[in-house]
This record gives sequence, structure tokens and C-alpha cells, in this order.
Amino acid sequence: MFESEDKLIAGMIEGNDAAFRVAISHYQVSMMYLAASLVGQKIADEVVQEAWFSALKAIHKFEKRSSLKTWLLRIVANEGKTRLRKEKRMTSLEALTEADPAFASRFDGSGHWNPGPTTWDADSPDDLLTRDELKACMDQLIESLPDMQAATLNLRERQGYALNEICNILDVSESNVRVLLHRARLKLFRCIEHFQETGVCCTD
Amino acid sequence: MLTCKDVCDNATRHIEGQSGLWDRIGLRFHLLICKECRRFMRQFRMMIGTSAKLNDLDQPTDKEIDELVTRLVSSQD
Repeated sequence: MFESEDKLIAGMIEGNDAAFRVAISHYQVSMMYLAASLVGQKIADEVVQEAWFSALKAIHKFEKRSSLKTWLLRIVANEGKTRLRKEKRMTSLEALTEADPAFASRFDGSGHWNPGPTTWDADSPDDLLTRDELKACMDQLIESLPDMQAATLNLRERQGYALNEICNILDVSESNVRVLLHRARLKLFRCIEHFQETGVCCTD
Repeated sequence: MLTCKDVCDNATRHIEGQSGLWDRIGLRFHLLICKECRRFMRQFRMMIGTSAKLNDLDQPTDKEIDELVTRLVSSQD
């Protein structure tokens, strides 16, 4: 019935229930992922619902310069950021892009590792994830990442968006997206390294 | 000449294909002579692969979709 995105959009503009149903089943999970990483799991539902209301109000103005999914995610990001600002929970970009002192101290004055990275007891991602405790630990760490770092990591690693698309969704520059992603990745790296060394989660 | 700190600071830039030619050559040269950075880059890539495989959210149920559609339709009235 809605075999193309254009037909789906037309159906949504007409207020067709079946079109809403298809759109929700296609995009709700991605929207929930993004909302949860920005505002936390507890209020992600509310943010996504607000995003749907906003999207329906604006769908007739959608200019198709991006895919429908990217447009919807941009609305989720805006709703999420508005909510964070209202609750004064938004972390400044400056704070989120600062160098991680815990990692900076891993190098000596001439920029050499001191100490170097430890060798992990795994050869592949699947190998690492055979330990349920590590999987749970990484989930906990990702939940605890600051809003925009978590959102960037989610869009890149879980949803496979390119960095320039993430800029468009989160409305930040490409260099900031890259730094946000790098900071989040270094935290995950340290977390896995800590678990490999001690058997204990870094968030405990 | 790149330092280990440069390699670490620019790991995401390299992996995302945003490094220039000279940076890529510098990185290759550094990795040839530095086993700690080879280990770091290998494990950093492994970590990226791992974070893509964490918990999945469930698809919304038919009931949840129906409820949301009802709210959306009534909001348009």
C-alpha cells in the first residue's frame, strides 16, 4: 500500500491511519533509541510521542531534502534537547568535547604510552561479548554517557549513520560530532580495558 | 613524526576515513614500529564492533502502535 516513501508521506499528510501505522512500525525503534540516549529511558516514550505530534503538524512542509527517517530523528533530537534544556540537564558541548584526563594521563611527556594498553583476552567483538557481565557493563556505561555523546554513539554505532548525517540530525558541526564520538569511544575502551584487568565493571 | 598520543587522539578520524594522505602514511609508519599502538588500534576497532552489538530494543507491539495511532489521529481533530 505504501511501497514508496513518497506514498507513505502522502498518506501521513492525508491523516491515513494505515500510513501512521506503517511509519510507526518502521521508525519507532530508531526514534526510541535516539530519545533514550539523549534524555534517558524513563522519559524517552514521552519525547518520542511529542516528536510524532510535531512531525504530523509539520509533515505537509517536509521538503524531502533528507529521508523521512532522518527528518523524524531530527525532530526527536530537537524535542529531546528542548526537554533537557527545560530540565537544566543539557551538558555544554564545550564540556563534552574536552580531553578525557584519565586518558591523557596514559602518555608521558613525549607522547609515548605510559602505561601502554593491556592485551585483551578476546579476538573479536563476539568473543568479547561472550561474557554477559561485560555486555551488561557496557550497556550501563552507555546509559551513563552524557546526552550528546550517547546520542552520537547511538547514531553511529547502532544505527550506522555517517558523520555528516549525524550533524544534520543533532545540529552540531562535523568536527564536534567526531570529537563527541571519539570521547564516547575512549570511555568504552577504558571500560572494557578495566573489565579485562579486574573482572569488575567500571561503573560499579 | 606522530607520537602514540597523536595516534590515540586521531583514532576516530582515521577509522572514519577523515585523515589526509600524509596523516595516513604517518599512521602506517608509526604502526610499523609501535606494537602498543598496533594493539590499541586493533582493540579500539574491536570495541567499536562490540558496541554495535549490544542490547536491541523491541519492536512496538500491535497494541502499542494502535494506541499511538489513536492519540495521533485524535490530536489532528
